[in-house]
Amino acid sequence: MDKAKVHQLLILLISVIFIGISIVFGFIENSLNLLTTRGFHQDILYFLLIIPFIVLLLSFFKVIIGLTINNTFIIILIVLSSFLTGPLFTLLMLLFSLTIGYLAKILITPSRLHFAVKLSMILSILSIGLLLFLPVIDHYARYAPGNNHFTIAYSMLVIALVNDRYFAFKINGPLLRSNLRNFASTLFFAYLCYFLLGGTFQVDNQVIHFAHFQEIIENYPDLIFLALLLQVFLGKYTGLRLTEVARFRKILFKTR
Amino acid sequence: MGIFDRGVLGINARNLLYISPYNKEKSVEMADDKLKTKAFLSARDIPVPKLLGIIANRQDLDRFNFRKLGGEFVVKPNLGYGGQGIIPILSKSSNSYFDVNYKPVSPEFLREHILEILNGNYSVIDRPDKAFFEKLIVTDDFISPFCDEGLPDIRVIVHNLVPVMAMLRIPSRESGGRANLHQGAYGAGIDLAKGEVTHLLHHGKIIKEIPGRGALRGLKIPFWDDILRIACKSQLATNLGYMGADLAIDRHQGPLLIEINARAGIGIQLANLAPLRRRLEKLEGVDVKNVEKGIRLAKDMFGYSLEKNIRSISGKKVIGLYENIELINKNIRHPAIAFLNTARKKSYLGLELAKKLELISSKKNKHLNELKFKLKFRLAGKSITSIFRLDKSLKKKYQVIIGNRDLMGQFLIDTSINNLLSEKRQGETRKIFISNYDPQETDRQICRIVSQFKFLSYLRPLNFHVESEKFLTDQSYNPQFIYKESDYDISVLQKDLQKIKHDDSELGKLFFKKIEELNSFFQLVRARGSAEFADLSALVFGAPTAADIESLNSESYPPRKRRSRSKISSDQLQEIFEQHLRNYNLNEWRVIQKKNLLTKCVVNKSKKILIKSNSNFNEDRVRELLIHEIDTHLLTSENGSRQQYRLFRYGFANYLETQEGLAMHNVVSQAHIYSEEKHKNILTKAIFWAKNLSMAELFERIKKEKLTDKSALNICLRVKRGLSDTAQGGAFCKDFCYFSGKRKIATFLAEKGNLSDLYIGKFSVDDLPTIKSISTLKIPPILPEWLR
Repeated sequence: MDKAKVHQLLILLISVIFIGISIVFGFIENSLNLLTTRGFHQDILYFLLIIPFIVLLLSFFKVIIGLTINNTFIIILIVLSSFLTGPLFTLLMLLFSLTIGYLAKILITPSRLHFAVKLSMILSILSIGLLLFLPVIDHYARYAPGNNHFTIAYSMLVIALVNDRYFAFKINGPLLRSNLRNFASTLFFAYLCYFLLGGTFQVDNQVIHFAHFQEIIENYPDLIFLALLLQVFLGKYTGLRLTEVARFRKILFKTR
Repeated sequence: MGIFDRGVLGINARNLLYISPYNKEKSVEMADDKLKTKAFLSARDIPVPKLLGIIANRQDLDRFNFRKLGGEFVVKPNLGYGGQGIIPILSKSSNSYFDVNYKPVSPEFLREHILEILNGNYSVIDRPDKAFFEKLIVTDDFISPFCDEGLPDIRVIVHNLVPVMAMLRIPSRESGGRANLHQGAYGAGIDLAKGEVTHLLHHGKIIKEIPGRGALRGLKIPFWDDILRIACKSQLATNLGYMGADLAIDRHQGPLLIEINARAGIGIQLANLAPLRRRLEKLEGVDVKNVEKGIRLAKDMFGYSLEKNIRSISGKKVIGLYENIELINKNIRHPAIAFLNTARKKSYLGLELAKKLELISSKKNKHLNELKFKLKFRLAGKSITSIFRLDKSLKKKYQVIIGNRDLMGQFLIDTSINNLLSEKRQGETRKIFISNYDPQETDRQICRIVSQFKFLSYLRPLNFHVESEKFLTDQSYNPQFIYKESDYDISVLQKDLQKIKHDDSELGKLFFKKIEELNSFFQLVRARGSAEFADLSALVFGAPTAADIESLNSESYPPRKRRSRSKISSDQLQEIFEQHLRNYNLNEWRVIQKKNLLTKCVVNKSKKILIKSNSNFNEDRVRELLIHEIDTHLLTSENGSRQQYRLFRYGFANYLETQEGLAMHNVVSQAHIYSEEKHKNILTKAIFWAKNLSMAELFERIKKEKLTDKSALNICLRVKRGLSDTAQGGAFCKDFCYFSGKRKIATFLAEKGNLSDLYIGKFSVDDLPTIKSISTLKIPPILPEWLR
């Protein structure tokens, strides 16, 4: 048996043992109780709990469905930012900051400056832009839960990272198109994960909320090991992705 | 764990089953680094495009001498992917470069682009990168008619030293000149055994042809075995167990490895309509010891074997509608073309053939159609005895009909198969089918040599300028020319020429003539500077006789018209040419101004018209150039490129004579301008005089024809090319073609020849009847206005 297979089996075994022990002794549950009694906010604990499920979902989309997801890290950050400040606020901040970043890029590109300096300048312009326009954005999309400095600072961090990632935006040409596509798919998956994992959307005073997952995970936090186990299975899958079945249908349904 | 894959390779299986276990991290890193790969593989005798320079940082960029790049290069990011960040430069002017679409690329833009590469904007791993320059690959003729822009390449997937699948990728306008299928490039599957295109793919759909360009099915990829060999060798060298090798065929250098890919995509399966995983699985545990064995295995295991399959399933041989057969009557054997007609039950024989087989004598001509003969014949390797009836109507294309009774149970007929290479002519049936002979391959090989062998460049003296200067200061001085060494180049090309196969068909004879012509050019190059050069040159090109000179002296021309004083600049001429090309809808041709051009205007084989920059032309000269260069040379070249054989574009033996004769005739008949003809007449006389005169004497003689010193010297230098000591008599007779060509065109017209026929391509007017017998010949689609 080769090394990789031994390694996979080992992870599988460890996951199964942990789930077993955890269920019997309630490790995660007890740990969460302890953290709550010591003053940790429940939301923070929930974020920690859902991260394995976010990445599981993303892996599923990639490996089984065959969707292109490039920025797992950014997606996690957008999901968490949406939980903190609300989905609309996050979206407006992102769009606003990318537009400002893009305009700044057009402005700065002709000047022959070092790449690092260009990026710094764009982020500086972005900060100034946010200082000027934050009240406007806040007017249309008030971020609901913890209206404090931490949440806004966190959102700023997300925005800076997203801008850094998409700095390669070209003013025109295929790179711009592919980056825009990338950004759109990142947003789509981020909001899909946000919704599936219990996030709330408010449209015309109507609240759209998928609460089942949140309820399950809060009642049975030890299921976090199940996510790990499922990831091992996903990691071993060598079959066709759904998109590939569609793509190769001509060969699949003609060859014997 | 594969569910419902039916042997199709998906990304999951590719990553887990092939890339991860077979491609070691170090090898993948190397594959991602184009410069490392290039250095590593070229050191192992794998042909790669020539590296012209590397820029690793800003300091390098500031110091870099862009002049050394010349005008044809590609700038690439070292860690780039998906064709991003690549800018091909096709030419340059004093203040700008031009990309493959002839859009100007300013040096500032290029610099900015290189800075972006250095910053890592095009890097696969988002880190600072290097930029490098490569020599531009010129697309080979076999594929250039199907390609709008960019460089077509061939992707070969290699696993376990065996080429598993291959695809030809053709960039399109939509893909922005990139060969990536998802960006809109065309993908064509390739039969590994034959190197022929099978299916054509665009945006995931199988299509029949490239719109406006034609069908690719059956297109033979040249250098196929070499391509497979290079792909396998690069796998052996890089130790990547599963890889994609990307190769391009350069018009001059043949196949070159562009890059290797450790994560080759899976779209290749669609272009081939074949599952890749199934092929890869077949190779598990197969011990392949060397590259040659790998290639053999690939051809046997993965060749597109529809025909083979049918044969193995049905046990029947697959044949075409027309086949070569051999008729046997006692001791007489005769080859013939047979029409396999399943609509007729019985087999029939033509009268001529029956006589040749001595089945009937001329006396027995009564009741001929009632005659029956028992005959044996061989068809597709099988001997069959049958009763033939005589059919007097069988006279033209074929003289034998094989009926259903003789075919049933033994053969399957595929109407797309054509085993006949040419047709019988003048009642005589030839044995045509020759195994291992492919006229297209012969054509390709000859054209490769023609494009590599720059005959006239060998005759340009190295000390041309020095000796010309010496001569101008002292006109009694006879220049002593020296020439570049050529032994190695010539012997390599000559060896290649000797290997070229040809048969005794009409087309084969044309090929043979071209081979002989090239051989004589090689001999001429070898004889430079020797006493035999002049004689040999006269033998190859012909030489004017005293009678010819007499006839030239007696020629009279109408009085010269008063010239308009207005001058046309090279910029204006460029515009006039471009407009003229647009009138013919020849948008792929480009007009480019060049500084160091010997003549003021020239049409080259890369679809470019070169004009000497900063020159002035008078109106007559412009008209003359339009008719001579575009309406004659360019149109024949363009029509020739649409024929099946490339020699129609490159020129069959002695094509120059007809081309120049036709061009001169057109200029005189359409524009009534005689200056060129007069000039060529002097050139012809100079060849005649040069036989017995030294260069100094010749110069004096020519000046008597009322020429300036510059023009006289120019003629002397043309005529005395190839000699070392110009104090001796002797001439290089190539320019005699103007006179002989003019005479031949006049004879052709006197015999009621149709000038449109000479627009089929580039060939000698003497070969026209043979050319017309080529079955795949197309009528010339573009003709000058006066011939439409």
